[in-house]
Amino acid sequence: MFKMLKVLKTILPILFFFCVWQILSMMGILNPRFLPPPIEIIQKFVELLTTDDFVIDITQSIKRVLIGFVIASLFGIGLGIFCGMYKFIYNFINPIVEMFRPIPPIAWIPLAILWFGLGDNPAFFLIFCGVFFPIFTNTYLGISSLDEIYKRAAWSLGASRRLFITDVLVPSALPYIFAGLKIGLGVGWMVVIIAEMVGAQSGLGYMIQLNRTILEIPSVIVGMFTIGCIGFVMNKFMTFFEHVLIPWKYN
Amino acid sequence: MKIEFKNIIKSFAVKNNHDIINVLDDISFEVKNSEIFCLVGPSGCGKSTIINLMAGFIFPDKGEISMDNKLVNGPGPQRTVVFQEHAIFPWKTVRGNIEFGLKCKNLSKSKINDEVNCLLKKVKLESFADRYPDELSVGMKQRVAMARAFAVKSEVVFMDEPFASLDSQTRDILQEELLNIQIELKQTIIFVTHNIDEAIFLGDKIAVMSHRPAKIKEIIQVGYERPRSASIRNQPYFFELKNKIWLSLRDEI
Repeated sequence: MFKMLKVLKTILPILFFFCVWQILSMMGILNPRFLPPPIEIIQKFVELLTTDDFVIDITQSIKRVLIGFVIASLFGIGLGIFCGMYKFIYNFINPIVEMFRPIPPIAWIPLAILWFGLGDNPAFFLIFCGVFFPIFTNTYLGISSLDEIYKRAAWSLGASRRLFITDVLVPSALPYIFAGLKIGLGVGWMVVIIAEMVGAQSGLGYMIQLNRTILEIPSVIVGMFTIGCIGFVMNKFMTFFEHVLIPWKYN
Repeated sequence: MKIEFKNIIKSFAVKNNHDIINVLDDISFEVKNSEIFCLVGPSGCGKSTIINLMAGFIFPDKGEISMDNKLVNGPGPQRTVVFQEHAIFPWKTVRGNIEFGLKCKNLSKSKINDEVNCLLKKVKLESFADRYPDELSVGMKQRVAMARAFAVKSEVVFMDEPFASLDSQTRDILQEELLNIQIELKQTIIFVTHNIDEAIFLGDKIAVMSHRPAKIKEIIQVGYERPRSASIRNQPYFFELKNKIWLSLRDEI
């Protein structure tokens, strides 16, 4: 009962938003050529769902972001752990990281296309450029902020190096690592759409760009909302994994 | 088993400053097998520094610390530590925390399980085995800390004001439990406290320390045998000892 009320509280404002939009369209205040009414968009969405192209676009985008995300996570977490454990590695790596970090992934697009052509590969590369940094930084922060007292406790109980890493260092840093992964996945989802808008022949980014050129505005908006919904669901998934893997933080 | 602390001098550099604080000034003492040796002294006098030195976390400027005539040159499972608080791993359950030291020893899974169950019983936490530290009271956390340290069966256990943040009833009960466990496992315990009652109730010997730079003022022999009943806290001899230690300590505060 209480839960239903909570759901209702979230849904009502959204319904209100669409109603106002619909009414404004029906009153002729909004020009349907630039902003079609919600009912038309919903019809378009249902129509598109039955086409293969749209489903392929969705799976393509998700596939690209997941592959890029996994590669960047492996590098980011691995390097973050090393840097957190060995100050001299951090001192060497960090200036290089700081040099590349301020470059937005979008600025890599020309080089990405020059090096990798069109299709999946430039997208993986661009996603990597966006995802690596938040994951690396957060992992490093988590590993290096381990309280001295836990190190002392572990050593005085006779911990081997391996046990120290698997049972103390990494679990203690997991909340930080997950914060990085969540930010990273959000960035990755943004980057994949941009990458597809300029350098791919499929995917949701490609789909909205294509429909813009043929002035198929309802499809553009369907694409936009789909991107938003998938981003939302991905974040929920990450939160779910976070609760499963870090039970001591969320009980 | 014997622990020796010979002519130890230790100082620390102050951060952002070129000053040096002398913490320990020529401290020597000796702790014998299965003895409970208490250190009392004013706060900030360097009691914890002594523990950190003996555990091998830090090293003296001068002097030697040895265990069975072997120099202490780093931390290890033959000398475990029970810290003041917040030192049990928050990411491990009660069971996981107690298990940690045993996992370090590469014991078989079933052996580890038996040992942990036995310890859980000793510290009365059987029904909390799968809880995380955040769900426990301070007293329970310190029970876990004790069980974790006793699990590795080291010959020496250092305890750095382990009961300082407990209310006085819980503290009394944990002191009694500690004595019971010690009678069973016979470890040597070096116990740091600023609470005189606690030192008398637990200790065979009590070293009274001066303020910084600390020296040992005197080492007092406590006459009570073990096991000790809670009622010794009300005996005239207990008060006599307490008075004696307080007189010695009050000049230092």
